[in-house]
Parts: sequence; C-alpha cells; structure tokens
Amino acid sequence: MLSRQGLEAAYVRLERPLYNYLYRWFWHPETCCDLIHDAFERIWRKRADIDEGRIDALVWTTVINLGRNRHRRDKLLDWMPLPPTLTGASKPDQEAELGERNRRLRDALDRLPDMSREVVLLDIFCGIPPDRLASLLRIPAGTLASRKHAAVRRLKELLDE
Amino acid sequence: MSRMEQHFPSLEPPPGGLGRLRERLDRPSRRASGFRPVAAAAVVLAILVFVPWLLELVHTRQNQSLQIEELRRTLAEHRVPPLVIDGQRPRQLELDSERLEAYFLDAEQ
Repeated sequence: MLSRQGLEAAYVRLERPLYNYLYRWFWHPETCCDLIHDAFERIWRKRADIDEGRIDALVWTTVINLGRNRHRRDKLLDWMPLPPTLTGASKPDQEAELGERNRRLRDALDRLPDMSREVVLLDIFCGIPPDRLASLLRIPAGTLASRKHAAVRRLKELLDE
Repeated sequence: MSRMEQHFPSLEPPPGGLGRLRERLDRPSRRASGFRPVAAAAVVLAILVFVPWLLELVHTRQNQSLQIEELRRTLAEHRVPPLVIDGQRPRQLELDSERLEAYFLDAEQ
C-alpha cells in the first residue's frame, strides 16, 4: 500500500522532470501543474493497490496517458470552429513569455508525429533506462531505439530549417 | 550534454506545487459522493434516446398487426364470387398476347 509520505516523496522527486516533459507539450505552466496533480490524485485514490517501490513508473505512465488525452482534446478543439476564448487557445501572455527560441522549438515539435515527440521528450526528461522505458510504453526496446533515432534526426532537420 | 538536450534546458516548476497537491488530496473526494456528472448525463441521454425508440417500436408493431388483421378481414368479407356466364362457369381462361382475357363455356367454342 502506498503511504502519504511515499506519494509526497515521489512528487518532490518527479515534479521537475514531469513538468519539463509536459511543458514541451503544452507550453503552459498551469496546464502542466494541473496534469501532474491529476495524476497524483488518481494514484492516491488507488493507493490500496499500489506497490510503493514501483511508484515512479506508475506516475510516468499516468502522466503520459493524461498528457495524450489532453493533447488529443486540444487538437480536437483546435479543429472545431469555436472561438479561441472558448477553446483556451487564446493565450497572448503565454506567447509573449515563450521567446523566439522556444517558439522555434515548439513549432518544430508540433511538426513531429506525436509518437516521435513523446519518445524524444521522454528520453531527455524521464530518466528511466531505455529497456524500462520501452516496457512502460509497451513497445520493444529495438522499436524505441529506432523511433528515437528517426525522431531526433527529424527534429534536428526541423530546427536547422 | 548532447546537442539535442541543449534545446531543452531544465525549467523550474511554479513554486508551491506540493502544498497545492496536499490541499487537493485533503479535500473530500468529489467522486465518492456518487455519480459523476458526466456519467449521469450520459445515462440520462441514453434513457432519453432509448425510451422514445422503444415506444415507437411497440407502436409500429401494433400498427402492423392491426393492418394485417384488417387486410385479412377485408379479403375474407369482400371476396369476389366465382365467375359465372349464363349460369355456367367458364371452362377455360386464357390470357393472349394482347393481354385480353378469353372465357370459354365449351371446349368447341
């Protein structure tokens, strides 16, 4: 069973890498914090069934899934003919804060397929060894390696454009 | 640090995250109190669609059986009597190439 101390220790340990991972998806601090808190709240609700020794992988899996869902939802809202104020796409402050360098990085990441983007960001921020990361994403280690290689090459091309 | 990682400097999350998480965990669970609003709305919507559909189906079936019964009764009550010419029933009935009907009282005619 997961204890409150165990959960909070995991939060302190993982908050920064999780935030950095999510920030390169959503580029909005509040959204990233909400998703992290959602993940920890979900885990806390199921604490009776959770092995404290495996909490890091569980947190990452939960955050990755919540991030995917949120990204899909955002894409759907972008596609729908709704005013930006309603979809939350209108964030002038966020655009101003990003700066030229991050805007270029965001545009390059946006042009990557979602799976490639996920692999690149997890490789940089997750800190989990590749074989465990592959099992976390439920793909073979070789697939992860080739996907990462192709994604990094494409991202370099996009950044050099 | 690899060239790729230089594009991804590590950022500091907004302060006070752990405090906000504690507050959130200490709040009474929204889900424990019963049905979640979205699930409840989905169930209500399903009922609102299913019940009229079911009523319509029952009504249609009833109408069909009434119509079949009426058709049977009409056919039974208004059956055309057998053809009689000069008190005799024709022996042969033919439909020729010009879609004319021919009645024969005797085989010789």
